[in-house]
Amino acid sequence: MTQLRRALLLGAVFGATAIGPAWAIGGGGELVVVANQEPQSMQAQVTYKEINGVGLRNVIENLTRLDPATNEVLPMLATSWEQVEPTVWHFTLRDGVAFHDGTALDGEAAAVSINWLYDPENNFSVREMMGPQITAEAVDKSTVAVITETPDPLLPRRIYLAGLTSAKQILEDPAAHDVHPIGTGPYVFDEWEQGQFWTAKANADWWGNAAEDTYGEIFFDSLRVVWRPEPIVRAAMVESKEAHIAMFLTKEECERFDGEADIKCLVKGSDTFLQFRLDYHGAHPLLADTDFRKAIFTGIDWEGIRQNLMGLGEPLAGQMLPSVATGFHDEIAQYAYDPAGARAIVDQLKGGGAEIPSVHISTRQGSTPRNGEMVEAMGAMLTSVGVPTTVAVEEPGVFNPRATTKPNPERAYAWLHVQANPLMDYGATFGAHYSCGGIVSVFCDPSFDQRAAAAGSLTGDERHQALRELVKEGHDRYVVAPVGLLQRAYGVPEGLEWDFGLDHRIIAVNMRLN
Amino acid sequence: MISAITGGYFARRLLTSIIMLVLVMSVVFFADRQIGDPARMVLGTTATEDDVRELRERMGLEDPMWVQYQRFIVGMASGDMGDTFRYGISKPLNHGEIPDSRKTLPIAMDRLPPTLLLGGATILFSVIVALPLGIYAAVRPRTFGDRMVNVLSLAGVSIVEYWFALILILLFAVQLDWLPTSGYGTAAHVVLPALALSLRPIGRITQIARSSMLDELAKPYITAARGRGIPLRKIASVHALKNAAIPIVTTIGDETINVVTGVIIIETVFGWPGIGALTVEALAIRDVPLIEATIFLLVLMVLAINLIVDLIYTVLNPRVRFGA
Repeated sequence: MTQLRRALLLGAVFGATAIGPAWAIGGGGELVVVANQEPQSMQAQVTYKEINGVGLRNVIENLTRLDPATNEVLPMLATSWEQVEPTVWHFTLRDGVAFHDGTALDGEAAAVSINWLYDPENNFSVREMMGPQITAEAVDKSTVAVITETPDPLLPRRIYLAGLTSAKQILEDPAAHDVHPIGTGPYVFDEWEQGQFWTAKANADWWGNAAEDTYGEIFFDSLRVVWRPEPIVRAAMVESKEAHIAMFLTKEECERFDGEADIKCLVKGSDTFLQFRLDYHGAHPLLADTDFRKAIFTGIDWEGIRQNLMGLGEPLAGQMLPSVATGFHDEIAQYAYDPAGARAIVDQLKGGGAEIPSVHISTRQGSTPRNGEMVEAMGAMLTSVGVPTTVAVEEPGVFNPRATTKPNPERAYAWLHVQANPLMDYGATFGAHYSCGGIVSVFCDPSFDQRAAAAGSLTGDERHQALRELVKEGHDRYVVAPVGLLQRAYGVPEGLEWDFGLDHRIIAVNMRLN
Repeated sequence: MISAITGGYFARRLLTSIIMLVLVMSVVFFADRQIGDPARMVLGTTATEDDVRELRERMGLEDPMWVQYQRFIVGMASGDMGDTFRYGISKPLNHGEIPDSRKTLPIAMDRLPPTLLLGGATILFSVIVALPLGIYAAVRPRTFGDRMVNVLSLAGVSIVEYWFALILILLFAVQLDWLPTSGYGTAAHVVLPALALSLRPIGRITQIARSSMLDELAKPYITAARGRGIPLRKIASVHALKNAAIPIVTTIGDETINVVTGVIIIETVFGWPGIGALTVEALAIRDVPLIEATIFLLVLMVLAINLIVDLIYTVLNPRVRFGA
């Protein structure tokens, strides 16, 4: 009996070896990522920003993806797409893709998932990057139609923010969708121990194992994401080999890594920028006066603040997005610091009988390192050129509602805050920041809105040129002062090869540990 | 007779504790209403005023304050601190349906065992280290050893826990590679956070143990005992320590309470999944019901520690239970 059992066991082992898995995967052990915060949920929608659900893009995939090097839109779960009408796009789905619960990705499943994400009643925060309202419907088994309320040439790029999850789960057990993601990705969600970690295991059936146009190769057998709010602790976890990736280290931590032989700091610009915004209308008529605004914008030493206080920040050329963005204007530059000129403007305005309003500059607690010092410096600089100021670092509960309030009629209000533009297209920025109806906009010029809408419906070089002119106009009217593009720093072992783009996605199949 | 008196004493103490609990939680209730609109925090920047109003209605925030307060007190008495709309759940505007929600008290209760483990280990370690140090310093006053103990205990009460925690991580986890930097799950994970938390209790208990023992050792009965040839070690550890115990127990109680409040920082630094870290998370997202549930448990722990200290008093000094 014992011999029989041994023979069966040996047979099973040899049989399994002979047949083997279709694709040999893994072998790299467990990838441990230490993030700065725990996700609030595991919903597909949180994947539109890496910071919302670190690592979740390994489980949940999208119709399209962005090339890490060129930012070009590439196929992912959709192999091709076509604008069949101004407001209708057809996406052809990849054959043979299954969700981790075994259900197939077809036109119907994709439509359910997209509609769930952008449903106004769910009010998911992914809608802040939506543009015109998006709905979807199945065309046939392998095609989903994505319909926009008004024409949206950015849709194939925008849809890369929409994570697709199992329609079966959404329809039958929506509450589980909050805590148990079921995607199509190279890793299958395993467990979320709230307060401690979440884990996922390599997916032997991942479509990318066999596809020629796959975006990576499974090297790690499993994935573990933990979180520590203190950067020094995150760095220590990499130094002590408890983690492979420590997210968002400070400049000081990176400098500490300089002398280490087996660890390094990866630093790269992101799609998130730090900006200063001043109410254009509201509390005081001078806020709409170009001379007064020029005094404010040239009375602050933006480059000095970036270099001395921002820490890890790339310069921006007087506009919010870097040179890869559609609409980037290569002939404008950062507002030059000119305290004497600013003082002269203020004195001239005072001499003409104008009353200089006090400007309140606020920033959100914890939004970016040393932002409190930055607003203090700005306040001091403006005071020195004759503009009275108050400054404050505000709790999110105070800052957020005010940030979304239209120009404050009682007070000249300015903020210093971070914003992201993962689409790298000014068409996506104007809507929020420069339009009369924009969520966080305090600038309103119906003529500008019309031209922005017209430019937003264009494509290719025409689009670039039209947006470029509007960027110049925004710059000349002193609407927003960009401070710098945030760089994100990661502590990693020396042998970790990792390819990532401006969106800083932590995708395990884009990594290998030598 | 004595047990009846003891029972009466504890009934009074229990009643006082309940009143304290209601008072503290009432302060928390009104303070929580001043930290911004929770509905707007949940919904973020894309919500309309109608959305915010609807969620405020659903959260009961549109009711008059006294109705909310009444609901809060009744809920607290029945162990229902309300539902979280945010923690793990973020689909608050499912119009026409009952929103997804989770009870906050079970979420907070789940985090209680790690905090009790960390707090227990900290106090146990502190007492084991501090008592012998205090006694040692008291029986050898003005010696080099006494001065060293004084310096160490002063350092213990002066050094900031947060800074000390980071130093411990860099030394024991990064440089020496003896212990994990942070996390939860094995006995080794307890060591660094417990060490970081025990710094202050060790300092305070050592100081009080030393001064109480010095007072006691100066009393005539000690001199008489020494005259009878009883060894100083026995006098100190048996006779003097028992009589010096009340201020020491009081300090241990106080320091246990400090540990309960100190876990908020230390658990966050070490990624320890206790109630302190949960409180910080709840505060960060303005999850008012969850903030109230975590503070409720922290206050309960403080009151329980006070009751336990009172119980120990009655054992050490029976006059306490008579109200003397």
